[in-house]
Amino acid sequence: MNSSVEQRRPLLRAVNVHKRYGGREVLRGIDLQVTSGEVVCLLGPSGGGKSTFLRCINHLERVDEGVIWVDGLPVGYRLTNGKLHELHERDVAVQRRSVGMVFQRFNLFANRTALENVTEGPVSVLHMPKREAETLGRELLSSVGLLEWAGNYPAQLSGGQQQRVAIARALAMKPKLMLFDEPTSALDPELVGEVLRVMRNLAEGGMTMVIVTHEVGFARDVAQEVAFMFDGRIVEQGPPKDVLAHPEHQRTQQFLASVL
Amino acid sequence: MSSRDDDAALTAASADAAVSAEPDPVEVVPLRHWGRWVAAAILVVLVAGIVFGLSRAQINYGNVPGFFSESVMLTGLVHTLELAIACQALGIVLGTILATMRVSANPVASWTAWAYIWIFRGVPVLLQLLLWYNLALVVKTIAIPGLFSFPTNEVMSPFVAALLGLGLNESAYMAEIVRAGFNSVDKGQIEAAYAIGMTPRKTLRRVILPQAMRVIIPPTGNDFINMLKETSLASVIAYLELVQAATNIYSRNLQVIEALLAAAAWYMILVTLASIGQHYIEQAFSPDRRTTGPGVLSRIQTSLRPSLNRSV
Repeated sequence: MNSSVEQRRPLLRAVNVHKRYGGREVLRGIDLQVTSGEVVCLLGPSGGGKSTFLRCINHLERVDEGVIWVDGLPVGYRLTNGKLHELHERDVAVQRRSVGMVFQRFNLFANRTALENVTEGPVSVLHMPKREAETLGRELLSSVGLLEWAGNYPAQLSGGQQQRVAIARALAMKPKLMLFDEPTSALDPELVGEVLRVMRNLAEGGMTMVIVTHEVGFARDVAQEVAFMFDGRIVEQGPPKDVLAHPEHQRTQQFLASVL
Repeated sequence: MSSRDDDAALTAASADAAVSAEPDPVEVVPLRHWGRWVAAAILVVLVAGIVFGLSRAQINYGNVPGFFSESVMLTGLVHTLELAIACQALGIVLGTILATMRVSANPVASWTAWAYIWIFRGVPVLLQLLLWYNLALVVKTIAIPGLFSFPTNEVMSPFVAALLGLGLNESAYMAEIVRAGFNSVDKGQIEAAYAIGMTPRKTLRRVILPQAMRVIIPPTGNDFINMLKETSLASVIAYLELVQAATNIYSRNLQVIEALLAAAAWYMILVTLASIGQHYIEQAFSPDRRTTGPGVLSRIQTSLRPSLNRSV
């Protein structure tokens, strides 16, 4: 296969994604492409479907219509003879290895130390030798500035520290794509900076990232692309310097006026 | 104080007044806990009275140690322990399976578990023991066609009947304990496990169970302590455990209370050992919550002693 074609293929491609809860449609046809190394921020008011869409990308939510392709594979399905076959949970688990996720509420394993949280994936999922995983874990904790907290349990860490451990935990799986679901929304204001700094470093290191956030300033500085979601649709999308400075859609203008 | 015009005089005067109304304290007197002393005294007198009364009862205490270590009592002790451990093990294994069925997405599994728990919690355990023990009256053989076939009255020994009666009953309670443990684990923990590529089975084993254990162990320890004593019900179906052993002894020499006291002493020892074991298991499953508190004696002291950690 031609390598230039390979490069042009997006790492993430969502096609006409719909999601319903009962009778309520929370995603009404999302189309989004993210190429390798790109950082995309999803902005918009609460209830607009941003988090739901993010959770669909690693199949924590199942889509009701449309397909999400990650690295050429349909998420949650296997494509054979033009048919999408639903995958068994253990095959979904294999797909999820290449997609890291960071949650609003950190969700660190409460009964594991910071280091054990980071090594859990490599050891129990990738069957990496424990010694090797610990070396990797210490490297990652050091990269988020928490090496000396390796032996602490989540309850002994601040929110900002927990979120940085959570990022290290996701990175330990060497993901191709990182998803962030409002990573700073549960943090005290003075702790937001340390988490955003880690994310900015990641972006500069070339990580492909999809970020649901309310931090418009961060989106402007770091993202190559921002997308505004309202009522289950992406209403406006483009480079932050255009969209944030000159929003065309009325809802985008209202939203930016209310948060800036 | 009288002059409203002269601000300086007013300030000076109120400063004087403040000095006289708020003198420097010379000593701190802690609150005396008279009520606690009175309550403690009443309790001490009550307990002393009961001890005194018992000491005047016609109990031949000298015979108790002999019964305590008699060989039939020791056999009863071993049987009690065997039965309690076997029943609790059966209860835990079946209970975990039932709890998994209860939370399963398969409605047939969920309803089956629900009905099982409904039946076994609804019938007194003594009655269950009697039902199992007398099963041979209505079911002559226990068989799976082509695999095995046994006459019921040979299979249903007192031990097997007691094991089924106590163990199946316990599994219904364990199912609810394990389910409460599963439910206590935050959903976010499960999503985090999925997000790093764990399968549901691995998530159960590595993330849910270790955390659910904290919630599961205390009531399970409670149940095991109950189980140690519930095995005494097996005496009605002629299983030689501690109470049956005591009965054997006193039917021979009519020292009823003495023989029962010897059995009671063994139960107390077993329960105490089980409680200590439970404490250590709980600690092992809560690596992030390990605490060492003050002992009982020092807690009584601090509660009765007037104390204030301050100086004047």
